[in-house]
Amino acid sequence: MSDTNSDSTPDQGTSRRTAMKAMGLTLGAAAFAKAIAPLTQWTADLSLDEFLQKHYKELSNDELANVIERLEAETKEEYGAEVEINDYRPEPGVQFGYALNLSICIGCRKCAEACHKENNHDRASQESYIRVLEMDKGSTNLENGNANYKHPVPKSDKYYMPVQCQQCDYPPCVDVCPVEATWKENDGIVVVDYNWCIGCRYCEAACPYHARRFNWTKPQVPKDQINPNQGYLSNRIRPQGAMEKCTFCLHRTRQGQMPACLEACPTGARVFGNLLDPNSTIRWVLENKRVFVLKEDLGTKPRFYYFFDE
Amino acid sequence: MRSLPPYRISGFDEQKTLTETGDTLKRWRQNTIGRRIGWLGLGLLLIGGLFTLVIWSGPNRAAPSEKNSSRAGHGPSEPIQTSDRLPKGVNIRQPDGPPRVATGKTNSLGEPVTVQCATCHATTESNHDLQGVKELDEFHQGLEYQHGALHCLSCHNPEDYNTLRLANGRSLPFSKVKTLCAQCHGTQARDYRNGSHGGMVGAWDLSQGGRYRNNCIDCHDPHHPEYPKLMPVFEPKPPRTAPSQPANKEKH
Ligand code: HEC
Ligand code: HEC
Ligand code: HEC
Ligand code: HEC
Repeated sequence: MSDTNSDSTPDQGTSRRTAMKAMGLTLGAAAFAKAIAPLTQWTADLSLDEFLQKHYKELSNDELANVIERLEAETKEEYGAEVEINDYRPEPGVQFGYALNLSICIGCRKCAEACHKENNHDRASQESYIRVLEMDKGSTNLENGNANYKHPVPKSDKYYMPVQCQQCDYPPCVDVCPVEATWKENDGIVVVDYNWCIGCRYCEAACPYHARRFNWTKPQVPKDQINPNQGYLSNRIRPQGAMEKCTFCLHRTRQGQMPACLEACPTGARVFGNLLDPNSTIRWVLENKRVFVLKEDLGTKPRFYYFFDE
Repeated sequence: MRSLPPYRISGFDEQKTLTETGDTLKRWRQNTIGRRIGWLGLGLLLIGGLFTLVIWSGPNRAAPSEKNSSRAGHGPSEPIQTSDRLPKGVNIRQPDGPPRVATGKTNSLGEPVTVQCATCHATTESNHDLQGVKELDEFHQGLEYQHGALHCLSCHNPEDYNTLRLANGRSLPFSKVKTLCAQCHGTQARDYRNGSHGGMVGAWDLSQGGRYRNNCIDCHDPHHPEYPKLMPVFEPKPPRTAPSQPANKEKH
């Protein structure tokens, strides 16, 4: 068996794993998880393989391949869909950034819908990582935004602010996770190991942008609506009891493609790209428009920028 | 170029290597362990602290660059079929040529008969004094028109109706209509060139795929360019909530 963690000393790896295992099989992990995770009693049907599965960062290539095979088979069995799950990795020299032009956005919510389809969200609840807020012109207080508008848009005295994960450089959600099931990757994307997550929902509470979603139930998606191009850390169907969030569609963006919400935008309000590439459109926006970030005073350093045309 | 806005790369700059920024983050987070324990609450302090310690004493993860080439389970970098892989380069939609006008008649196959602008206009005198669409009583009735106070011939070429006309009198093929718009809407044309107006689909990384862009007139009808109002789709529903508790669950 090969180990990908080539820079870690074997000792540390063993001790950690041994400790985890010991705790998992005796009292520690179980008691801990039960104490804080709301869904423990409903996820009792968790398979042994799943329960013993290691943290994503600890998996060797072979182990990950096995896990992926298992997940693909489970999707086939439980959803009837043939899917391909890949482990897309960050590319060196890439730092993702996203900007949104509030002068252009009309609030049509096509982005939220595209997110829903792309990321295999639960159908009945119309889950989406994007919430579009109708805001009074002149106000920037997110808490006053209304997500439930149902009239032709745009209304002349309003503007529209789609909000999704801001992929903060100092993510409070990552900070509060007691088991390190969520972390920031080297290209800036904050991800969740859905199988490591214990569902305590601290991260959901810690996010100032209300960007995290919890799988209270097993997501229901009809077979023919499942997006078969899936990422291990992104849009594969999440287990019940796991936290989930926007990943800037890393299964697309780590392949050089645009996120689904950007492509769905009929108005062209969204700009995405590599912050390290001085010729990228995102850099042009940051250098030529007066951009701002949400709740700047919190010091979260979002990677998601907003701007108005002047 | 204007001076750079304060947020530009939020803490990351090009000189810094990826690992450096990763390390900064790690250090910052290590300094906050104390705070994290606070979050866990008193009752969980012991177990939580133990967990945190176990995890923080764990191995440093491999740098992704070292792992990057591995694609578990499917061999090295198999091409991924996204629905919209496009030919390389940036492709901007262009009209094929001059628009055609339906005559209202159909041919023997039941297809509508269309004609070129010049079919009539080669022989019709141009009306340089036309004040508005309401005065169009012979043809083009019903043309919806609301574009500043522009005269038809600000854009159409009275010398050749199969072409457009720039302000300096030069004729311009319909396929180059963006140039026409750009002469009066310089700001939007500049933003469009730089990707912050008009949108795109396809690849952000042009070395990995192509990009497709709409033309100005795909979003703005030249005769009434205001972006149309839309009915929003995908009305939000209440989020999922906790499933009702199983009967055998012990009460606290
Ligand atoms: C079937 C004949 C016919 C065709 C085909 C036709 N037009 Fe016209 N057009 C007219 C007539 C007649 C008028 C004068 C209408 C009036 O004054 O009520 C006119 C008026 C106009 C005007 C107003 C200014 C002027 O010259 O009087 C414009 C601009 C114009 N047409 C553009 C076009 C363009 C562009 C096309 C091709 C897409 C086209 N027309 C095709 C018959 C035609
Ligand atoms: C801002 C520039 C502009 C002005 C002003 C303008 N047009 Fe046009 N017109 C265009 C362009 C560009 C097209 C081609 C649109 C396309 O390819 O879809 C066009 C197409 C047409 C067509 C053929 C297609 C159609 O929409 O029926 C007619 C007829 C026409 N114009 C008539 C007029 C008349 C009459 C006026 C004045 C009332 C006028 N136009 C004013 C730019 C203009
Ligand atoms: C000869 C100059 C001229 C040309 C050419 C021109 N425009 Fe305009 N455009 C104007 C003026 C003037 C206004 C009105 C501005 C105002 O009301 O403040 C306008 C308004 C607009 C608006 C805003 C409409 C609204 O009500 O929100 C759009 C969008 C627009 N033009 C798009 C275009 C496009 C697309 C083209 C190319 C087909 C074009 N224009 C060609 C002069 C021009
Ligand atoms: C993908 C669709 C799209 C394309 C392509 C596009 N625009 Fe726009 N444009 C918009 C939207 C959306 C708005 C904002 C409308 C609103 O707020 O009601 C807008 C606004 C404008 C305005 C009005 C700005 C103002 O301040 O009122 C002008 C002028 C304009 N566009 C010109 C252009 C020109 C010129 C091009 C081509 C170079 C172009 N647009 C291409 C979608 C588009």
